[in-house]
Amino acid sequence: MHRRLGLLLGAALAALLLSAAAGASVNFARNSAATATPKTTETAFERAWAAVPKSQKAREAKKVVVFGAEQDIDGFNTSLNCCSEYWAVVMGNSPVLRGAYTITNTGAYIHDLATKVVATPRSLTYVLRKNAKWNDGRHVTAADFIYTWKQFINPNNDVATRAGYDDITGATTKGPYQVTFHLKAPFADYKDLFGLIYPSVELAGQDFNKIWANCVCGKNGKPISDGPFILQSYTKGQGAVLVKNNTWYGKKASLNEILFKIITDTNTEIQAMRGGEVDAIAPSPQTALSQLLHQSGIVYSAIPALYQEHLDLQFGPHGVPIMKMPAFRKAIMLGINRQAIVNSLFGSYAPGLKLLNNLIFFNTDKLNYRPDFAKWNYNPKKAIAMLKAAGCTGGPSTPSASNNAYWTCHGDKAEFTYTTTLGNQRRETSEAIVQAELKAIGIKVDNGLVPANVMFGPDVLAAKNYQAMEFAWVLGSPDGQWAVDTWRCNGPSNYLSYCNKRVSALLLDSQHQLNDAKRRAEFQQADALMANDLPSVPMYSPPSILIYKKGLKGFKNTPTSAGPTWNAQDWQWTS
Amino acid sequence: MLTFIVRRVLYSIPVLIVSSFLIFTFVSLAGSPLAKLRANPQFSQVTLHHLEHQYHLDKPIPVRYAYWVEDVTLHKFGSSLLTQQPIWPDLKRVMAHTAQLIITSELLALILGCIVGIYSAIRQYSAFDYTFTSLSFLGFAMPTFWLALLLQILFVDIYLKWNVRIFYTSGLNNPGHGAWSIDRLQHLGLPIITLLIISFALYSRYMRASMLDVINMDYVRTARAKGVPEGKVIRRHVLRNALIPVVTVATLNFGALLSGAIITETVFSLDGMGYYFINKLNNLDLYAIMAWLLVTAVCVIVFNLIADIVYGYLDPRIRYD
Repeated sequence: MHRRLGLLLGAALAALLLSAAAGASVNFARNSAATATPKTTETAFERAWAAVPKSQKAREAKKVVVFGAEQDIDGFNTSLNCCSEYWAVVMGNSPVLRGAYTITNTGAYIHDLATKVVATPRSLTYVLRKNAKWNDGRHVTAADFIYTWKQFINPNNDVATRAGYDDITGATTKGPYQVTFHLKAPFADYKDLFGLIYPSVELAGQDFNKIWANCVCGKNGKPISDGPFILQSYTKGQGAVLVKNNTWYGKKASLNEILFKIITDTNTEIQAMRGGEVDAIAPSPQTALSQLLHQSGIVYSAIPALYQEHLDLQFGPHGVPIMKMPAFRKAIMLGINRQAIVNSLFGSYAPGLKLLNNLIFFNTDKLNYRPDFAKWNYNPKKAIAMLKAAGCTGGPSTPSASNNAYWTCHGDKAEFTYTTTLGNQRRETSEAIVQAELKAIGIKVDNGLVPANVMFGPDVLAAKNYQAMEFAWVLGSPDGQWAVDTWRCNGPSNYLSYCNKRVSALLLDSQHQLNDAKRRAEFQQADALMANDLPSVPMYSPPSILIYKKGLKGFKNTPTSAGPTWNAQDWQWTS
Repeated sequence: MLTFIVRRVLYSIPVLIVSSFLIFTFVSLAGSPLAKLRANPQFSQVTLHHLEHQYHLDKPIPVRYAYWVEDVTLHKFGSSLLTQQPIWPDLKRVMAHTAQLIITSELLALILGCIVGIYSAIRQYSAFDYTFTSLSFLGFAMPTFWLALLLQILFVDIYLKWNVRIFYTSGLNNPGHGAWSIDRLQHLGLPIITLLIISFALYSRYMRASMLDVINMDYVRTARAKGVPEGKVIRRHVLRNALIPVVTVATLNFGALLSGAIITETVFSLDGMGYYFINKLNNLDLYAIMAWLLVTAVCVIVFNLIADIVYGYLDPRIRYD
């Protein structure tokens, strides 16, 4: 028996040693097809982390910022389906790879790699910056633009979208710094094309679907960049390291290094921010963030993101017949206190967040946004009056929380199912609020909570199999182009079967309208018409939150998908 | 014993096959991996159909299962549907991290739990016994996420007040060489404490109950009557018999925990099995989820077998045919 116990103890000791060996010998780096990163017992992130000063003062002296990243990523080639992720853009695109334009935090498009862009109905001409270089010394040239275009139109490449690129029929160059793309039809959203330029020489011959799994690098495995920072290393599950790129054409970055530490739990992020383990975070909106709202030594910024939370009203055969009645839709709109929903959901950590009153543009877009839906702000008495005037009977005469009388309008009950994502606390809360508010004015709302994968699967959203559905469109850029396929008659993303021919004509024309003012007017007219039709109830844009130490300056919160690193070159410690 | 082991291994094969089919079927029925892509208004429907065809998502489940089994057996679980990256390197990496966390916390919990359980049994109804019984119940009752968050807040407050960094709140970083550097321990400290408290409660209770069962046996009374010193009675006659159920439970527990302490790893952002599973589940990366489930099933089967072997080894009365 002593022998048996002894053997057991020996096994336990061996297990302890095994665990030590496991911790020391794991190789985290995943090699892409083209890279040949040597295996080491210590990862690149660990080496960088070891060198990062642990106190804020020391980090200030060394010009290092530690940024908490909320999600790990699947790759840095964000043009692919697999890898079109926010944090991949934040860590490996915005500060590392530039495009023809940069979108600022106010939604303005400013020239970046292109100093001039001329758009005509049949061509797009880019005049490139002569001092824009890759970090290996090569200039960014027309060849890089042409290579980028070819990757997008290659049918073997699993890109997320080809919109615009597939309108290009060919390209001609005038020297290395000017390229003209020939179009088969005018493409109005040209500013969103070439948002990211690939290095043609460094990637020549490589499989586009397999590049950049864990780096932004050329075929020699070395990091490549034409932006203010170079992605020096990325370690799956741990983080990424950016170092200053001295070959960038712009004003050189003040910081020497930005280290992204992956912290996926928001509560943990908050503690890391409080405890000084990180200097900045860009967390997803959660109530727990209220702890940091008034924390000393911290700057807290919350602005509406490019995220359209809305309630679609189904016009198709799976909807309820009463939904086609304009007075009913208007009553729904008037009966929902959207501001109360916004205050309830975000008041504790994003106070002052405004309603969304437009189905195409966002509050942060001062140039294009018009609050067309504001005329339908909460007015339950008016909702009741409207239903009465439309010939509905049986409902309450005044709004009341304890009401149990529901309207019948020409034989159709004022009732519908509210479908939204099960387990999403925000949506479950807003559903409960809407249910109570519409009950007060005599409209019955039934629960329709379904898991996200079912809701966005082939049987519900894609099949238009709902009566009213709350979900969000998440946009990468503030341009209204996304609205064309969503709101036009028979558009591929028009899941609510809405059709207004005038709206449709305006949106279709906007696709080819190169005059900015006229295009803007078309979108605005379309939205104004939709504000009369009420196919959907715009609700809110959840906040984009950026929290950073007071000792840092240059941080500007942006609602775009470029993320907080859109101007990383301006970040600096103040002494 | 060898025959027993071989027979158990052979029995495990059909169990694994059935498990793999059930895993594949239920996960496939859970939803489409392309659901998230549909929510993007700029996503082309043509590309969606292309992806469905490419990944055989338009075929019946048995056909898809066959493709998957081929990937599992010949291509080490194949590639992720979403990222097209190989699954096995990621899985191997996270298994190593989880193994390190679990082995450390479980061994410490077992040692401490046994010590406390033994002493509680010897000094039954003493202040020590009552104290640790209460603490054990407290440990059982505490939700893991709550305990983890409390520990984070506590040690951040200590840092803010006294500027002393005892433990970090997240990550798995290990600067310098060697797995047991101070910084590594500082990062793993809180997750280990979280898991330790809960497991310690379990083992101390088991040990105490088991000790009390054995300590009242006739042969123990006989040993005392023969004049054997109390210490020797406890060590040679009571302890080694009382250990049997505890070691068995610990082995089974260990096998289950190797699938990843999901909540602990998520809260502390540890790159382990649980964290991997949650990420893949959120992204509906079906093949990665299936690989994780299959690895977990294998762990459970293997550790069940080990528990049986350990039990038979410790207790000579047990004979396996």
